[in-house]
Order: sequence, then structure tokens, then C-alpha cells
Amino acid sequence: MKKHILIVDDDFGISEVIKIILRDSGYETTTINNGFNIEKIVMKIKPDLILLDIWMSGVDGREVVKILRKNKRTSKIPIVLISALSNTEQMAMDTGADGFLPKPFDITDLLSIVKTHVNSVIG
Amino acid sequence: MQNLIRQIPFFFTEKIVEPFSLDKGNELNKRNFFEQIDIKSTHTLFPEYLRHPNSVFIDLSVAFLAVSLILLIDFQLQRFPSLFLVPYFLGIFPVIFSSWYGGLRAGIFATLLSVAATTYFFILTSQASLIVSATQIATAAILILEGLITSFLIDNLHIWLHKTDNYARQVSEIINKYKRVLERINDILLITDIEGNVLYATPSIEKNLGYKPKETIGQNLYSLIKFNDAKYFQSEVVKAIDKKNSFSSIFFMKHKNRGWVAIDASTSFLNGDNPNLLVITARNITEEKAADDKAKEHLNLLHTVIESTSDVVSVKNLQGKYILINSAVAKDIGKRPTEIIGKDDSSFYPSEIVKQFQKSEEKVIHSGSTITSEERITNNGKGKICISTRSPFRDKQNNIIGVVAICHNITEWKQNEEKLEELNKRITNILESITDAFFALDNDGRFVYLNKQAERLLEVAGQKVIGKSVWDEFPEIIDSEFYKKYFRAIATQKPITFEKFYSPLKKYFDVHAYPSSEGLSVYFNDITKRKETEDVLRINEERFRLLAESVPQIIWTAEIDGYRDYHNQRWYEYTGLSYEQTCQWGWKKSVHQEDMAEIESEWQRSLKTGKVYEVECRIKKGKDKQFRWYLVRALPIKNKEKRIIKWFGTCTDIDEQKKLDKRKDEFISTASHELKTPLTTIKAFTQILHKIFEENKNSNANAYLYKMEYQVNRLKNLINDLMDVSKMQTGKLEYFDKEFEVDELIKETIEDIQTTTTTHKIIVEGNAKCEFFGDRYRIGQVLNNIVGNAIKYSPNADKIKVKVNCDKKNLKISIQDFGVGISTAETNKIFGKFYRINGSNGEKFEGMGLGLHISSQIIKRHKGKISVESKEGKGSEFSITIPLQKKLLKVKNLLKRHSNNYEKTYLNS
Repeated sequence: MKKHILIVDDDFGISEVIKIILRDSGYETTTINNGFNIEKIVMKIKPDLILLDIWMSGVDGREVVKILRKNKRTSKIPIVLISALSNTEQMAMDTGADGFLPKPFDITDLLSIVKTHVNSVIG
Repeated sequence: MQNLIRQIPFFFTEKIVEPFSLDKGNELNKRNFFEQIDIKSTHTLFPEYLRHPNSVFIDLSVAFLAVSLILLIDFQLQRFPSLFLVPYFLGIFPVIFSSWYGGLRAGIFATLLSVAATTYFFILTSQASLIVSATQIATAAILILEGLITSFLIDNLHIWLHKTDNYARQVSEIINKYKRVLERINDILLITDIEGNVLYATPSIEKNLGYKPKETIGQNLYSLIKFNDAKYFQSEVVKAIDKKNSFSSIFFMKHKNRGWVAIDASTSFLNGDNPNLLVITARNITEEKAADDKAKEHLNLLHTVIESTSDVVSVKNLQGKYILINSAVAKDIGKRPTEIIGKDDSSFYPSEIVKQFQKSEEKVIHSGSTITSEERITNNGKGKICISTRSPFRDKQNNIIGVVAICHNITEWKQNEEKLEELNKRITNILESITDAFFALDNDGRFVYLNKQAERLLEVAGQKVIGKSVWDEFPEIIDSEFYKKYFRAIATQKPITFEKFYSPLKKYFDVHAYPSSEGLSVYFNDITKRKETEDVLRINEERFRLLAESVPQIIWTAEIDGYRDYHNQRWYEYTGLSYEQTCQWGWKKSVHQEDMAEIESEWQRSLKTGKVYEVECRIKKGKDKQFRWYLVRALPIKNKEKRIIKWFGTCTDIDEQKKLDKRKDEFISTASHELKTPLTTIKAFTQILHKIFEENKNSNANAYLYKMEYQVNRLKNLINDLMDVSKMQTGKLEYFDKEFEVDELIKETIEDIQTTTTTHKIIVEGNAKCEFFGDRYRIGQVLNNIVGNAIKYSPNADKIKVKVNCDKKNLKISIQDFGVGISTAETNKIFGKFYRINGSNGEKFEGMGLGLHISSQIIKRHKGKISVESKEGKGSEFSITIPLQKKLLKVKNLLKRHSNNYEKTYLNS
């Protein structure tokens, strides 16, 4: 069964390239461009990993992490934050996310971080 | 009075213990009346036995006459009855008669004769025989015995009866003899018997005691003497009888009419061997005694007077010997009075002083008048100055018999006078030397004194104006302010101070006038220059205020202790506070509570160190209670000695700037995001293409894609550097400090860099197995930059040396390359922003010149140092030294603050 990865980014170019890379690597992907109704969407599609952009128009990435971590049904889903700001790893980790990927990234970095966190989930 | 004077030395020397004795003095003068008249002669006149001694013949004659007379009478009476013819008649009468007139002896003779006659005529005739019977013998014997007894009794009776008469006779004899003398003497002469019965008194008694002489005769002397005196006198008499001498005594006698009269009496006996009459010569000394008492009183007064003065009082006789001194003399000379009296000055003073005294005394004696002079006396090393008054000392006859000297010590007074004079001189000196001008006016406005400064300022000569009226010398002054002020000062007797322009002299004067009862003292100064300076100062201050009030900034000044003493109008307008609310620390009310701590610590630090004070804080606007950001700065104003005298501060509204900063931050973030996002997409697609071409074995396309990717990375790094620099500029670069292993970081970083180069081998020497507290990412960035530079600037070299060392205090990293090197002129500039160096042969290197700048800022932030040693053409060595920071509370707080800010920044963005 293919792993399902939810990509949340308001930049269409980014979400598209990530989708292409991940699909080529055998992942199933869903792309949304904002953080609104994230809970409902996550609960509906039940992704194995969420790639979340921190700086989005509308709802901030860290807010999304908080919301998801609050909900029992979504709290165990691994989240990797992606940011264009340098040196924000610490801050990103502090919010409760599981991983961090700075922009711009290498494909290998993206694939390895996705692989790591998808596999960490048991069940 | 002479007596008295003779007594005085005695009196003073004996110190009034026994003031003086009139007795002693009088004794010398007293002349016993009986001593003057030859007492021996009286002895011959007055036999010791009072009855005149009769001869035997006279006695026999008396007896015979008496017996014969009785016989004759008897014979005549025989015709009559034998009444008388008794032998007793014959016997008894002649015996009585004889013994009365002739005494005992005559009585005995008469007895014998009468017995013989009786026996013959009466007894024998009746018997008619010559035979004597026993009865007849017995009768004769009885008659004889009877006669003897009678004689004895009669004689004694006679003596007793005539004793007084005898004294009287004796006395009258004397009196008659010396009558003329006795009636004239003033002294009283009394003659009494041994019991004190008065036998005679001279007429002078009436004058002295009021009794007529007759009245006193027969009176007892003792009854006239005061009781106690009488007793004493009596005892003296008894004593004198034993010793058979005369004596003197003083007693009071009763005056007939008025009280007691003092009597000086000399008593002696009329007959020395058998004293029975007392001769008393008495002198009335009442007046003398009163006079003496008065004299004594005077003497006491004199004594009190001369003793009560501290002046030295002495009387010397013509020989220069002291006859009277007061105790001041004794004190002055330093000897006891007894040691001084009777001696002259040579015993106490050095010869020149003695001469000096003698000269003065001689003058007095010669001139006979009082002479007063000032004398300097030096004795025993002590000098004194005296006003000496010497007067001649005269006796009753007005003869000069000595010199009275009174010496008033004026040494102290003299010294004071000298001091006063000196003081006066000094005051004059002071008045002359003070920079103030001074003149004194008397009550009529005349110049009494003016010093040189006054002469100079008033442009007058002192000599000319002294004594002249100020109104005459300076007529312009009349009705001027000066005139009015001086008059007011004199009228109110209160000092007055004022500053006035005196137009005639074109000078500004600062005047202090002090009125006194004697006139007016005026101190004044030419303050024209000061006034001018003050004007300049005032203008300057006015300028400052004008400037301070006209600028849009808030301006304030503070004292060196930090108290604010001035704010310009902007402040009051902005804060809405009043001056009273603002001054000192009142301004704090307008400052945001959160900014207060920093303000206070910074302000105190500046006050302490004198360094520029600079803080950003929010100040509340009075109108809408909104806070606006202000940059508060203050600079110390220093005097010539470089001592801070004031702080000059400004508050600049930076609220807009702050907002701009915030917008800039937002812009940077946005720019970063917006630039990186497409870059990310480009990079990702490049890599996808890269992968596809790799699978299709299209090596050309792959090579192009590598180049593309390299350029994308460069772009990424440039964007990152630009972001960092712009953040650093505004202090917004965030640091995230935590503990990390240095070795690990170095290994990771070097490995990363090594992958980007094929030309250079990076050699790491040493290790750094220590925990470091700081921003791991940023330290890695520094390494990246410097090692990257090392590779970049050593295109012809093949290695880079990285030395790592970590001791207890510091982490040391040095990066050595063997490249183009840096000229010494440039070594200081390379850490500057956008500074780029070229190779010595003009070759250019890529980059914006930001890496070293960012690195040096990061090292600085970690309190470390970065330096470079380089030789052109040989290579460079960059050394970094960073202290190992411990996890201090401060750092933690810093971290906290940073993360807060971080959050804020993000929430805002």
C-alpha cells in the first residue's frame, strides 16, 4: 500500500515539484494550499506524513501543528516543517513538529526526511 | 595725727591684728603729776605717823599742867561738900586731858602725877601717918591702872577722831604748796585714802566730770568708776600696794550729767613705804579716744581703699624707705610686707630701676606737686608698663616727709592699645588690598577714608576728597538712585546692596553699603565687564533656549547627580506634565513601565562613567495616552578641567523609524521567502531533470544541470548573506544559543565543504573536545565562510590547514591558506561590509564581500576575537578565539528574550 503524504504549501510551484518528486518515488500525495480546515482534511484522508510550510498566507504553519497535535486522532501523524527562512530548525522543532527541511532543498534531502518519518509510524 | 602716722607702718605690717594701742602711745606722753613734783620732799613733810611726835618735856608739861589744874580746882572746891573730894576726880580728868592732847605718854605721866598727888593730899592726910597701909597701896595701884587704861583709850580715841583731819592736813599742806599749779592743770588730780575716799579733787574735775570739787570730797572713787573698770582698778591698787609702785590705767568715769568719760589715770602712793594715800592724776581722753576711733576708722577706710585696688600703693619716707605699702606692692615685689617695710628699692629692684624711681621721687619732693608719668619697669625678667602718680606726703606742718606713689599697671591696656593699633593698621591694609573699592562717609556725607581701588574707580585722588562732602565731589549723584539708596540705608540703619549704572563714569557698580551710627561704609566693585559678560551669557542662554524651544526634539538638561533641571516646551506639550511634575525624577511617570529598568541602569552607568547615554524607550503622549518610541540620548558637558558639569539630553521621536524597521523586517522576511520559494522550485526541478538525464545517460545535459545547480546554490547563499547583513544592521539577527560539541560541528562542516572542492584538501589539526555554548548554526557559518574564502583565494594551492584547540577558557580555531594573501594595509578593512580584495596580479574573486563581515559580527556576538596574519603571495591565517561561555542565567534570559522576540517577529509576519 502506498504511503499517503499530505503537502500543505501556499506556493503552487513548491507543492507541485514536491508532488512530482514524491509520486516518482512511489508515494501517494494530496496537496492543499492553505491551513484552513486542516483538521477535517487530515481526518478524512489520514495521511502518513504531513509536509507543512511554515509561512503561509492565512493560517501559520505552527498554528497548524498545534491544532493537529491537540486532536487525538491527528496527533500521531508525523509532521515535517518546510521553511524558506534560514536557521529556523530550532524554532520549528519547538512547535512540536517531527522534522524540518529548509528551502531550497535537495531532492535527496526531501526523500530521506520523508522516508525517515513515514517509516517511523507504526501501524 | 603724728602718732597715728607713726603707727601706720606698724599697722600695716601687723595686718590689723592689733590695730594700735592708745595706752602704749599715751604712756609715753603721760606725765605723772607727782613725778614732776619732788615726791621725796613730801616724805619729809608727811611723817609716817600721823600725830606729830611730842617731846617728853612737852608730854610731862601737859601732864603736870593737867594735874596742877585739877588740884587747884580741887582746893577751890573743898569749901563745898566733899562731893568732889574723891581721888577719882583728881585722877581721871588730868589723864583724859593729857592723853587727849599729849598722847599716851602724856597720859601716863598724868596718871603717875595724879596718883602721887591723890595719895599725898587725900589718902595720906586722912590717915595722918606716913605709914602706908596695904589698902592705900592697892588704891594707888588701881588708880594707876585706871589712869593707864584711860590714857590709852583717850589717846586712841584722839587718834581715831583726828585721823582724817591729819590726812586733810597733809593734803592741804601739799595743796597749799602747789595750789597755783593744781588749780590750773587741765588734768584731774585726786587724792584719796586707801579705801578710795576722795580727800581732794582739783577744780578741773568740774570741767571734765561735771562735779564740783567739794561734791566729790568724801565720795568714794570706786562709785564714780564704771563697775568693771572699778573692779580692775581696785585689783591694780592692791597689786601696786604690794609692789609699792605706781601704775597707769584707763577707765570710764561717770560724768555728773552725761554718760561716761574716758579717763587715762596714773596712780601712785603718797607715801611709798606705808601707802595710805593715793594720788591719781586723770586725764579726760574721751575726745582723744573719739579722735583715735575716727582715725582708726579712717585708717580702716584707707586700708580698705588701698587694699581694694590692684594698683600698687606705697609710701616712702624721705630716705626712700617704705613706711606703708599695700599688699599689691608685696605681690609685685614678691616678698612679705614685713620684709619690705623699712627697706628701700635697692633691695628689690635693679639699679637702673631704682635710679628711675629716685629721679621721679626727687622731682616730687623738689616740686612739692603730684607728678604722673608712664613708667616701664622691668624686674625679674618681667616687664610692665605703669601709670605712676607720685605725690608729696606732708605732715601737719605741711612739711614733706615722704612720697606717696600709686602705680597703675597698664601693661595689658597698653598691649591692647598696641593690638588695636595693629588691628587698625591691618584693617587699613586689608581695605587697601581688597579688590573691592571702599570708602567711608561720616554722617554729614564727608569722606573719612577711601582706598586705592575706590580712588581708581571713582577717578579721584584720596587726599583731595577726604574731609569733603560726597555731594560736593560728586554732584551728579544727588537725586540719583545711589543718593536715594544711601539715604535709605542711613535712615533705616540697614545694609543695602544694589547694582547700578553710574552714568557720569560710565561704569556699572555693585554696591554694598553698611550704615552705622558713625556714618556709612560703602564697598563697591566695577562690574561693567561682568555685566557685559552676563549680557553675553544671557544672550547665549537665550539662544540656547530659543534653539531648544524651536527644535522639534525634546531637549532636557540634568545635573551631574542625574536630576533633570530643564525640559523644553516640547516635553511639556507632549507629555502634558507641568514643570513641577517633571523635574528631578518626575519625568519617569511618562515612560513605559517595561523600559524603566533599562533606562535606570543605563542612566546610572552613564552618570558613573561619563559615557554617552542612549536608550530607546516608549514615552506616553499626554493627549491620547499612547506610547511612542523615542531615542533618548544624553551627552555630558564638561568644563575646562574635563569635569562633567551637566548633561545635555535629547528625546528623538523614532516611532516612525521603529515602524519602518518593523516593516523592513517584514520586508526582509518576505523577500527571503519570496526569493527562496521560486529558487526552491527551480532547484527541485533542476534535480528532477538531472535525474532524468542521468537515467537517459545524457552527459552533456547533466553537466549543464550541475552548473545550473551550482548557480542556484550561489544565489541561495547570496540571498542568505544579504538577509543576514540587513538583519545585523538593524540588530535583528537572531541567535539561538545552546550547548554543542565543537568537534562534531567542525567535522560536519569540513566534510560538507570538502564535498564542494576537488582541488583542495582540508587538513584538520588538533581537536576541540569541549562543550561550547552558542549558536551552532552561526559558528558553522563562520567556519564555512572562512574555509570557503581560503579555498577561493588560494586557487593555486592544494591544501587548507584548520587548527583546532580548546582549553579551559577559550576555543581557538585557525584557518591557514597558502594563497594570494592580504596586504597589511588591507588587513583591517577586510572585516568591513562589502569589502573585497583582488589578487596581487589583478585577478578578481567572486562574492559580495559579506562573508568576513558576517563572520566577524558573529564572533563579536560570542564575545570572541577574529584576526588575520597575512603575507601577500604567501597566504593568510585567520585566528578565532571565543571564550567558553557557561550557561549563565544572563544567557538564559537572553535566550528567552530572543525566543520571545522571535515569536513576535513571526507572529507579526
